[in-house]
Parts: sequence; structure tokens; C-alpha cells
Amino acid sequence: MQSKTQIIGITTTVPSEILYAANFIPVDLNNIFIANENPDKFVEKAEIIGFPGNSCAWIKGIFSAVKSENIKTVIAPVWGDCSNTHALCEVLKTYGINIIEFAYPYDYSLQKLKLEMNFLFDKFNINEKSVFEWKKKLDIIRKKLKTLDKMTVDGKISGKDNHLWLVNSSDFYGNPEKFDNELDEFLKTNDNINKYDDFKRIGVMGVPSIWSNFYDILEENKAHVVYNEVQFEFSMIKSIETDFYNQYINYTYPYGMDFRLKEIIKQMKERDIQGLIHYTQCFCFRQIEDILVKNNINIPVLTLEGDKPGEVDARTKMRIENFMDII
Amino acid sequence: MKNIVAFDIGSRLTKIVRITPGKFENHSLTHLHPCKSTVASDFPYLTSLLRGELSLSSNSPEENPLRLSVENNYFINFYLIETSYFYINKEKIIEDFPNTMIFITGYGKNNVDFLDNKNITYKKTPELVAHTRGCIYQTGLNDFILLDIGGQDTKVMLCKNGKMADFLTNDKCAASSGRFLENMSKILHIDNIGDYYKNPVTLNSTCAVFSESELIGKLSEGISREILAASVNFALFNRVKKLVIPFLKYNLPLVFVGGLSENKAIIHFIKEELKTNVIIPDFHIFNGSLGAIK
Repeated sequence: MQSKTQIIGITTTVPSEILYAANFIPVDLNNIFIANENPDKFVEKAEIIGFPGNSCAWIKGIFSAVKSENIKTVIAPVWGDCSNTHALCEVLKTYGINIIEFAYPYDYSLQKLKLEMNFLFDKFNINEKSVFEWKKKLDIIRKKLKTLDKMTVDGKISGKDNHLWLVNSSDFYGNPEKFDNELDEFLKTNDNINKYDDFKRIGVMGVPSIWSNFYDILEENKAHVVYNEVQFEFSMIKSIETDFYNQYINYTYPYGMDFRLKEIIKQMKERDIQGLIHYTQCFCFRQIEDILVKNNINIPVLTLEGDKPGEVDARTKMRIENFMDII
Repeated sequence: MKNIVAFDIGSRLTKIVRITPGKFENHSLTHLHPCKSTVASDFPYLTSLLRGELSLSSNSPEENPLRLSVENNYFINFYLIETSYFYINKEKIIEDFPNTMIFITGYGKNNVDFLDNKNITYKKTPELVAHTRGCIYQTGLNDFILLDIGGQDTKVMLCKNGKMADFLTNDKCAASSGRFLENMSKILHIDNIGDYYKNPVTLNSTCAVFSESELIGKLSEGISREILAASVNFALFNRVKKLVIPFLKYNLPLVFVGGLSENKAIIHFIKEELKTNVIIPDFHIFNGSLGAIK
């Protein structure tokens, strides 16, 4: 185990138990990018060094986040996330960034996933036991997140707060204790009143949206988001009872659409969802997967497409408004 | 009885419909001059709508603002203005409509509020809902596919039992809209681009801006302006058809509204390539404004 705590950038969910056991402070680079006051500057900086205009804004934001935070090491799933991550990692290497590659097995094999995990154990000089210890610690927080998620379904917590808490559990702010305390505070101050009785119940699937006011616009249109699919997956709250390895096999996002859709359909039923929004990022391969969503989901689906960071554009607002009218 | 005025605030043009009872008189207002005027009785569905006879209105007769007296004739004026002009002058324009029930739809509807002015009563309608309803008002149909190609975007709506059941809109890029044709007309120096549909060649580009470069390349190859004008229309049709084809399985009439429903070439390609008949309502440009009225 390394003695001095060091920051490590993550490009998407990487087993945080391992990173904490190895005494790293994980920092989700997506959150650094999108929480910045001027995320569009992050995109612009990446484009100036040569990232194409017609490529994913998240990738460009991650690149600039590494530079702005002066991060020296990045761990990146090169399987099970975005294919652009490969190229991003190669570019980052030329900037002297230490890249640790990680792969969620494409064929969804527990055995291969264990090998990947063990590779990280060896690389960071940690043992399985310390990782399991961290799962126990993080599961205490996840139990609270599960309560929060349930309260969202019951109309007591907004879709926006649900999104923020779950998405931030990808790195627990790099400080699980602080996260835990703030979550306690948040849950304590909740008035426990159902605020969304006259709202329609919506699910949002796909990567977190790049728009700053997406959830506000949904609420304006009387849509209560009771399911944030990918954020829910990031939070691992459905795997509190399972062991460490199976937790990352139950995690649907890195594996094929078939597996992912089964979970989505199950959640839609449990949460009594009336309409599903599929958020896709411009120029992302997941825009192709939209065909599978439309073919497999039998409630109204609205596919939205975000490009650069900023507010929801007029065209998207118009589409949301009309979608709410047909469901 | 109150007068009625409806605004469809598009990204470029604002389409206004004003309905007043009584005889013909000069309907120019301080800030607006009608581009078209008509009496409602020439249009049976509009008359039925105005008399509150159409079953589509869920309002009870007492609540229905359109429940006008049967004895009256209604005069309808249509106004077409630049949206930028409307925004600058909206307070004054509204003053031209005293004692009026106002209906608002279109992209710009969220930019317009008269909350400070207690004398103004207004109601907003989502754009696609307004278009679907406008089509019902104008055609009397309850089940149809509605294609709207406007200056900035294209929308296709499926209407079943008098209610919008599904819709598709074009990609973010304005390549599937009137804006594309306008830009291309400038390059080709052709005013009436919609008249050309013979012998189109393929323009490959997905993006409208790339298409401009491609078109200039074709011009330098010596291809005639007429053929290129037809090609531009065909390229637009090919983008739009991707939104229409998914709905053709319902075997419903296709109604075509919006600025481009005057484009002969697009109508020709729809009929020839999609093997479907096209209905173009009388007030195709004002379909959204009419549908905002409820």
C-alpha cells in the first residue's frame, strides 16, 4: 500500500473500494468538468489542442479537467465505457499523465472481472481483505442513498437531488466521511412531504445530461424523475447485500444493452414510470443503442441529445413539453 | 363577445390569426397589416369550430371561448411578421387587441409574458399540440400524420382519435428546414427554388454547411442551376422522409403544413417517392396559430 495519499482521476465508475484501500483520493473527472463555473472553457481548451468539434464534449471536458486539477494519475475503464476513452488515454499519456487501464469484461464474465480486480490489487499492493473492509464502510453510506432513492420514488425528494447524490457517489467526493455527514444532514432536513402528487412519473436513462438546468425544466413541465438510471447504477445501492465481485457484475452500465434494458424494464415497473427519457450525448455510440431502447420499451420514449454544456436549448424544451402532453 | 387573436411565435416568423365578429372593415392595425383576410363561413370546419360545434373541445360550452353566436359572421385576418419585430414591439402590438382573448404557441411562447398587464388574458399551448389541433380544425380529420417543415426545423406528428400520440423532430442541425433551402437559393441565385424537381443529382452531405461547399463544387463542375435546385430539394426531402417513413405503417392521410408546404418539388417527391397523397390545408402557414385557439 502506498503511504502518502495521492489523488487519482477516474473517467467513469471504477471500484472505489479498491482506490480507497490503496489510499488514493478518487476524483471523478466528469464532476470536476461539469461543476466548474465555465465548463464550456474546458471544451474549448481541448478543441484548441486538437480534439474535433464533432466529438463528445464529456471527453474534452475530462481532458481539460486532468490538466486544470494537475492530476498525475488517471484510471480509465477502456472496456465497458466509451470507445473515445482509448484515444483520450493515449493523448493524456503524451502529456505525461500516468494511465492505469481497467476493463469491465465485454462478455460479462465474473472470472475475467476477478482477474481485472486482482491486477489492480497487485498494482496497488493491496489485498482482497482491505477492499472488502472498504465495501463494508461504503455500504453504510449506500444504505442511506438507498433510502434517499426510495424517498425520490415516494415523491419526497426531487429528481435533481436524487441525481446529484447518486452521481456524486462515484467518488464520494474523494472523502466518504464528509459525504456521509452531508448526506445525513440532507436527509435530516427533508420535510418528508410528498411534493409531486400531481406530477407525471418519469425515468431518465443514459449518461448524466450535460445541461445545467435539465431537471428544472423537467419540473417546470410537471415531470418528477423517479429513476435516474445510470446514476442509480453508479451508486451500487442494489448490491449492498452482494459480495464485492458480484456488485460489479450486477452493475449494468459497462455491459451490453440487453442486460442493461432488463434492469431498466424491471425498475420501470417497480417505480411505476409513465414515460422514459433517453439522454444521449452528441457523437456518442450510445445514440445507436437508442434503436434498441425504442424497440424494447413499450411506454413513450423521448430521446434527447445534448452537445455542449449550458442550459437546455429551445428545441429540446419544446420536445420535453410536447412529450409531457402525450404521456 | 370577445375578439380572438392567436400568435404562433416561430424562430423567424410570427404567424398571427385574428378573429372578429361582424362585417368587413379595414383590418389594418397600428402595427400590423394583414397578408390575407377571409370570412370564416367559407371554411366549414372553421365555422363549426367558432360555433363550438366540434366535439374535439373538451371544454363545456359555457367555458368555451369560441362559443360564438350562430348569427354572427366571423372575419379572419392573417398577419405574418418577423419574430424579431414582434419581440421589439410586442407591448404595442398587444395594445391593438383590446377586449381580446389571446392564445400563444410556438418556440417563442416562453419569451412572452404579459403578467404585469392585468387587462390581458392569455393562454399558452405546446407547439406540437397546437399543430395537431390546427390540423383537426382545418381538415376535420381525427387520425392523420402531420408534417410541418418550417424555417428552422421539421416536425412529424401522429394524431390518433384527435390527440397527438407520437412525434419526431429533425436533428439539431437546420439541414432539414427552410433555412437550408434559403441558403442554397442564394448560392444558386434562384428565387423560386421550390419549382425545380427534375433530374436531381445526389448531394451527399449530412450537414447543411458541408452541403454548401458541395454545391459550389457541383456548380464548378458545370451542372446546371436548375438541376442543382432540384437536387437541393431532393436532399431536403431525403432528410425529411426519415421522419415520415416510421409513421407510414399507420396508413393514414398525410397533412403537410408550414412554410415549405408551398414547395412544389417537396410535394412532388413526397407523392412520387413515398407513394402517398398529400393534403395541404388552406391556412397551412397559420396552422399552429389556429390550433393554439382552444
